[in-house]
Amino acid sequence: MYSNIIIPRQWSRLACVCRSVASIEGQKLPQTSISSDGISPPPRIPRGSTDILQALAATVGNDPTAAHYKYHDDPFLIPLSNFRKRAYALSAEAGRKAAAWIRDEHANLFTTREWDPPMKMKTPYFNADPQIPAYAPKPFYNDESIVTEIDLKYTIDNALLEDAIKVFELLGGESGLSSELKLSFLQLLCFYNEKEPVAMEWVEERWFAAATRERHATTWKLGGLADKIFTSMEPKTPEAYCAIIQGMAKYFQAERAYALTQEAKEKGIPLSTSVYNSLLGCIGFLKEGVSLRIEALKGLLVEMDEQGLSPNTETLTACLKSLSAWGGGKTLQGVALQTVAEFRQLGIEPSLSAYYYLLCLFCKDQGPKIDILTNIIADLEKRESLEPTEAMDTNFFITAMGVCSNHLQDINLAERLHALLMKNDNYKLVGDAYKESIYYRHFVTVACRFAPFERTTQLLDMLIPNIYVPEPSVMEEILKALELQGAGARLAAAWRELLVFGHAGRARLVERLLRALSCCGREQDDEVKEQMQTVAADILKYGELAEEREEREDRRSPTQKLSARALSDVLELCADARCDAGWAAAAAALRRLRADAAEPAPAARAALAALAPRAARHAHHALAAATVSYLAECGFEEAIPASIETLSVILNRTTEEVGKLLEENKPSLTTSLQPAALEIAQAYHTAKTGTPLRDSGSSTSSDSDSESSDDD
Amino acid sequence: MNTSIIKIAQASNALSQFSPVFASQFHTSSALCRVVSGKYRITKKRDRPLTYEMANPPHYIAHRKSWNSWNTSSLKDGLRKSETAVEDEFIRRFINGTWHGLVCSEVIIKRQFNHIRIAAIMRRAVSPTKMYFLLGYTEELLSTWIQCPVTLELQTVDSYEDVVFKYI
Amino acid sequence: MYLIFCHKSVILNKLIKMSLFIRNYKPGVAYNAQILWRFNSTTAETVKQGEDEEEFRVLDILHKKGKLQKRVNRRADIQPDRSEKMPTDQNWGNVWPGPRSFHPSSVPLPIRQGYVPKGQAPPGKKANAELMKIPNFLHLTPPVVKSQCEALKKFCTSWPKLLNSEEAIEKNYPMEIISSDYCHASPTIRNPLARIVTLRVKLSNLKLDSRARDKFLRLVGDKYDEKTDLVTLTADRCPVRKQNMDYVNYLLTACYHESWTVEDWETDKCLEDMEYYDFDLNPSKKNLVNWYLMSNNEDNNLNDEQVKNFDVSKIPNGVEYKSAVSELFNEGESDLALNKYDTSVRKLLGLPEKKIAN
Repeated sequence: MYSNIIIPRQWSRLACVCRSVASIEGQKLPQTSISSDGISPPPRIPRGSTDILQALAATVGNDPTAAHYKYHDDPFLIPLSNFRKRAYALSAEAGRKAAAWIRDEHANLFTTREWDPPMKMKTPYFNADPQIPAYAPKPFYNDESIVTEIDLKYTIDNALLEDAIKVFELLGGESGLSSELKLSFLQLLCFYNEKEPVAMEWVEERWFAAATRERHATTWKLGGLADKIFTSMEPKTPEAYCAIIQGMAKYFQAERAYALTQEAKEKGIPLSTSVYNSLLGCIGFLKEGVSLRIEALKGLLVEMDEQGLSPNTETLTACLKSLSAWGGGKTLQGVALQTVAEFRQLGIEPSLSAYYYLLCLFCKDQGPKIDILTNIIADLEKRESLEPTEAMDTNFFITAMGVCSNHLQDINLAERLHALLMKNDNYKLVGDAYKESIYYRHFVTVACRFAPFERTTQLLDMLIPNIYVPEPSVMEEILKALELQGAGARLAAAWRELLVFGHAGRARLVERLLRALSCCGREQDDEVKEQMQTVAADILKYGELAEEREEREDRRSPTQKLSARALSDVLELCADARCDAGWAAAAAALRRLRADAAEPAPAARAALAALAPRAARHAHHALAAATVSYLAECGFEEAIPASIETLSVILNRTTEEVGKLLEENKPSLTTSLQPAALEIAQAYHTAKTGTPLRDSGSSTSSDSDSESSDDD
Repeated sequence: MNTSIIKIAQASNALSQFSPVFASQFHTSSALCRVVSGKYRITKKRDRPLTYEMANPPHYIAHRKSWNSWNTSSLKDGLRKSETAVEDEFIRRFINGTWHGLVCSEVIIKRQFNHIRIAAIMRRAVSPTKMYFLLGYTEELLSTWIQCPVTLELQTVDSYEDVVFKYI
Repeated sequence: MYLIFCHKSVILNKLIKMSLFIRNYKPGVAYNAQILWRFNSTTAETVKQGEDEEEFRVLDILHKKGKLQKRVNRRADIQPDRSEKMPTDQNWGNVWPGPRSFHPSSVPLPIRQGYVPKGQAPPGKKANAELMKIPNFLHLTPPVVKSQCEALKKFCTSWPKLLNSEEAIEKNYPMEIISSDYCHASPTIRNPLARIVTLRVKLSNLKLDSRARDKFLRLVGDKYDEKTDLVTLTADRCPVRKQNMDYVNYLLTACYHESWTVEDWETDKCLEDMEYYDFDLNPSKKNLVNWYLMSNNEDNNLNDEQVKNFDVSKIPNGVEYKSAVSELFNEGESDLALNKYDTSVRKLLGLPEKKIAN
């Protein structure tokens, strides 16, 4: 039974090799139970065409080191900031669109079987067999096209709205159509309100589409094509009424929709549940005032009952949608809870959209803290699977996470919610790029604030940067959390993150980072300290570079400069500099401070006083001198002991000797001391006498970074 | 170029009707394969850059370097032999033209079922955004042209010097 | 571009310090290099002063400076390989889920490939086109294969228990249909070779008597292999496998039933028409039987039918004799056959064995 296996030649084994399969077709297989007699094969387990692929795909988890698979896996091409993620994905799609345009523009070239040479004209195989319709050019309609009803049917089935209208006109308008086709055309028009939807083909465009808030305004085109077709239809079928009323209600033409409903009722035309659902959704447009609106809502529900229509989940969602749109308050909340309870009695469970509207109604930002989310999550966790049924279902997770973060500030609830989102393939409910980003913004914020530190870092490692790139506000939260835990190495790494996420120009964030670095700098190991000092040096260099670029290119919006406070932080951090970068950072910060003629923060005074002798000890005499003279310039009394100590280091004498020396005659000093030491002596006198003895002509020298040359 | 191939094919077809011998011995170039083709002359200054692919002449295929096209057409009884070869040539020219001046290596074409994977090494001379545009464009256009799903698998390098194996 | 700041002291010109702060602008460089020259001199100050007041530009004919400064524009914003960030306990199947060309930044292995003269290191994994060419099996590591098998188990049914040996399979499923499915790299999934269908069945499994068997063998001709006792029917004349399968089934059915039908003319076949020597039909048997009966003093008046049905194995050494005679006639005379005939006759008649004269 397994004979005739073609043994491939050795080298061809690598290629995709033809493999023969012995089969037992043609023999009558008894279709009984599981191999009842032990001989006949058990019946085949039924499966769909993609079940095996899905089973294999389920074995693959996600890889935190990789970007989303729509991006090319190459260091050059992996996006690391939100801007780039968007730009790259949309560029690729733009390329695809360009190719599709060429394909449709030159459709005649793409239908031929280009690669069948003439002498093989009779070969039985096509280029692609079975043919892939997605790669075939799309039909193109203009005024000269010769069309039939089949074309109209095709365009309607594929939701090509503009093409459908074109074909409809070519077919001779309302008169030249069968009533069946006319109805489906009307349904198409009503569903999209005569606006071409973004094609399903362009995934990225839909994903990155700017989150336009649903406009609660009348956008229905009055007297448009849909209205015309509806009036031309004779007799008007119930389906036609349903379509037009639902269309009007969807685009908030509530009065007309209501009028048509009344008309249909008078004529005795039965209406569907979904018509009432859509009417429930826009009932607020007819009445003013909460109590009147609630009355109208109840009235509609009673009417449904009279018509013998049973409500469904969408009915509940529509009710809650209306209720949540009318503001807040105890009354509405009471009605909402009552509605949900009544529907529960009917055996109708609220969908995700219904929960979304409930959250909107109960958890207002300014309102009192009401915890309904715990119950909602408990309910959802019990469900087998979450199937998206309505468009607003995708709003649930982002709103719920927002409630966790801002309203309830509960990390445990947030974790449960996240676990729910990660269960099975619930991730499809995350919505689009914008919603996903907001979801993670809330999640990371609440985690940074309330989660245990290990969990936070684990979460950050997993999410950033491939799944989520933090916005500045979230970055600040992260920095705060890191600072609180004194995670020095991570803080040092945070600068690189700021750089790649495109936040390096934000002075506020950078200052926050420097603050954090200087705060927890003292407790770190030497190695981490070194890293931190390197980071500080990098930050200052980056700032200088940005300024230079600004000068060159004459930008209109200048980058923000670091404040004196931030520079003091650098000095504090680098007070015990260990590497060249540390010294460089200290020198640069000092230079900047002196250039801006700014006062250092009080905390930095001690740091500066400590820095000077250390710098001298490590043979950074210029820096030591600059530090001391800066202290003297600012008039701090730390300048005196600092200058004595520093000088003692430079001259390799005891402090007493140096003190005596400084009290001696000045002219003799100038001749005997080297420039750095001389400057320190100068600073000493400045501090001592309180009068700057420097010459006005040489004060500009502080611009340059070398030691300032002060001479008496 | 495509038309000329078809013309030659037609000519050979016409001739083969009269003389099968002629058809089977159809040959256009003098036999230089072992002498000059695929080999590079040493320059005076010894500054001609060669990639690994160029440094190994054709007779080292399967010994020191491997094929640039991987498919089952070249196996015994493979289907679409000529079509595959012409398609591969089309893909190579298309890639070299579309990614003009960026391709640093040979274009490697692997086919599995109806999936075509095109691998190449590109220079980072244009911005990633432009590269993504070209990626999307190339994949979509080749897919519609050959009616197979096409995937590009690129590796980027800083400059051409990164792929240089030696100078002769 | 050079910016030169020159500071000189005015009041005390005993000591002159000049600091030249030269900045080198190189667009695209991540961080500017700062070069600092410091002249600390107490003598010859006046000369230097004069020189620094006015700067002369040097005529650069060969553009040497430009050449020197020309540098590879390495992009500083390229992130490190993601393989460096990979934890050692990661699930490799998630990183490399499907067939894909090799990419150095995603594979945390120090791989090299390429032929180089002795003593050199082969080219590394970066920018190595050879590594991209060879089909890799990074997506089919043993753990991945294992997990995929687990995932596919739910689609599989168990093997019937009693079909545990080749013999059992052969007994329960005597007929074998062989067809081949082909996977190949091409836009079409059709392969003309997939239409070919082969049917195999053991002749002993068909219910045939000797006559029908004889006729069946005549019908199938060289489709029958005596060594394995297999009848192999292959069909490739129809374009589709289904049709070919129907055709082989039809062929077998037709041959079987045809071999059972007895045509009128078949009875006309007499001894002269036999295409082989059948011991039972020939006078040799009659002679043998008669001789045997006579030598045992038994009743000797059997008719032809009784002779034909007489069991030779009752006669001592009869079977041997029968096979020797049949062989002699069917396979022609040869030393071996003749010797065999000789010994069997001697045994049959009780004669002493042949003495081989030396």
